[in-house]
Amino acid sequence: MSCSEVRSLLTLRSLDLLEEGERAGVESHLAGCATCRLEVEARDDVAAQVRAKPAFEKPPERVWDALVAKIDAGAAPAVATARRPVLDLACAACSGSVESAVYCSSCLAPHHAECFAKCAVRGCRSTTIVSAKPAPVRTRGVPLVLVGVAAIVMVGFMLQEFDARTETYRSLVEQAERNQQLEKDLNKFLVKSQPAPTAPRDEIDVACEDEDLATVLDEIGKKAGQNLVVRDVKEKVSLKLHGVRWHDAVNVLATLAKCDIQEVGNVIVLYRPEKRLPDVVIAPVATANQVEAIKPHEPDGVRFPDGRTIFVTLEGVVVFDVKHSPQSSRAIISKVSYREGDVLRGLDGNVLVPAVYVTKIQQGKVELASGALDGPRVTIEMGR
Amino acid sequence: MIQARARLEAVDELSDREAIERCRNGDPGHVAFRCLYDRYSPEVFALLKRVLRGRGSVEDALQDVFLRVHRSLGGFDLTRPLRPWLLQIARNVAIDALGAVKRTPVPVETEDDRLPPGPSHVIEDVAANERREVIDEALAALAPEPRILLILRFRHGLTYDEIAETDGVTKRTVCNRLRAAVALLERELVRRGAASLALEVRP
Repeated sequence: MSCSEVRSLLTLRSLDLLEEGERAGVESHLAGCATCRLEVEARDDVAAQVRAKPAFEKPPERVWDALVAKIDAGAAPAVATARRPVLDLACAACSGSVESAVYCSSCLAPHHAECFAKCAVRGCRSTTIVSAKPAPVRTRGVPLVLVGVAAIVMVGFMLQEFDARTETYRSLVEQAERNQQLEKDLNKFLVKSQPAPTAPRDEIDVACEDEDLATVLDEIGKKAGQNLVVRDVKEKVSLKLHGVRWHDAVNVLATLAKCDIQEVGNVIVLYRPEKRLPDVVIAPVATANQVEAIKPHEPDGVRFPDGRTIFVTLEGVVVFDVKHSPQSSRAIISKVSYREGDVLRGLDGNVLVPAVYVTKIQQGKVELASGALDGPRVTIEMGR
Repeated sequence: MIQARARLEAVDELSDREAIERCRNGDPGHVAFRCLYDRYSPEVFALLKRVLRGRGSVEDALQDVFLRVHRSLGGFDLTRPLRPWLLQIARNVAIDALGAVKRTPVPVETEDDRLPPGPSHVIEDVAANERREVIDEALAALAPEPRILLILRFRHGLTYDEIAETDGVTKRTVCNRLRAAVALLERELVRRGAASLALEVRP
């Protein structure tokens, strides 16, 4: 038995409700599992409370007085009668008292004549009746008198048998109804109990394809039980993450959508920061050492003579395009104190490949060399 | 006076069977029935209080139980024990009462309706008291049938045989219903955030 199986049986164990086979399995598991043995104590608490004996107290005397008054006021006294209980017949269809009954030919259940379209007993549904004549109603102390022709005598025997079984029959029907109600209640309760609130999960999966950022964040928020909102960002995102922490997923989304994150109470807001002027500006082409500016439609991009391109982004972040992609490597040069001869490192700490060296820092200008200290160079003028 | 006391003592000593037979034979002044009432009403009263928990009048229900008992004593099989039969009548009355008031708002539970304290060694323990309250509330939140079944079995100590006989079902069915009721109780505990009480390992 696994630990989870055993734990699902521990309360039953504490209440002595285990089957023999289960008991053996549980006990042998407990003998070898200290963790589950710790759990036994908690379950014993539950069982002890379920078993807590109620305090008996005498009810107020007025209850007895009212009870006696009701009994004396005409409630049927509990007089000694025949051992065999004799009941008035009740119509199987409407449960009303039957003075003059017709009997189902199949199960002999009594009905009012007007109530008999089909037998009302569950599982019977016969459409014929034994007798439409008033049936002798058995009253207390009066024996069932059967008179008439042989057929009626036969019916009488059947009735006698039925009479003896009347109470059993009624109690069985009532019992069956009660049982049905019990099952219904249990099922109802089970259905009601099933949607137990799902505990917020730390690790989640995210998969979306060209979805609105707000929609994706909303989904993450639901899974993680967090309040995540987007402020004024209309962005489509596509990503697939598996088993990531929710805040990592939010960080990734913020990066993709170029958003900043702000916490307001227990709400996390993603917003697009206002555009600021870059702290790094590209030196005029004319002043760069052997640098030619290319792609005039990309004013922020400067290419080394060997074809590598520098993209200057906000806040002094320079993107070195190793694979001709702005996302390939990044290095911050405005916020890190580089010295001449240093090799630039990407944000991940790795040296860019091919390496980029700081060859000269002078009057707010940085001269970089590509591939080697004596490699092609470009000069960048740092912003204020 | 002495005679009256002697008669009272004699009545107190009546067995259930003798009392029922006296009830059947007329029972002037309801003396024999009073004997049964005194013997069983505290337990029935406790059961009804526990089940109704302020919903409907416990005293009215108690009256109803003993009125039904009085009316049915004529047909009671003297070979059977009286107590389980009587408690089952109380159960039926309680369920009827709950059905009658199920659409009315549930009043706040009074102190009197609460369970008596559990074993004395945990009374001082605040954490244990809190756990007990949570378990008690979860039990109270169950549907009437499983709740009463658990109460009759574990608090009033009815045996499987007694429940099975009065319910007209097999012992196996009683056992299955009890297991289902325990499962419902555990679900309720989890739903109420008491998982650590019941379903997780405590440090």
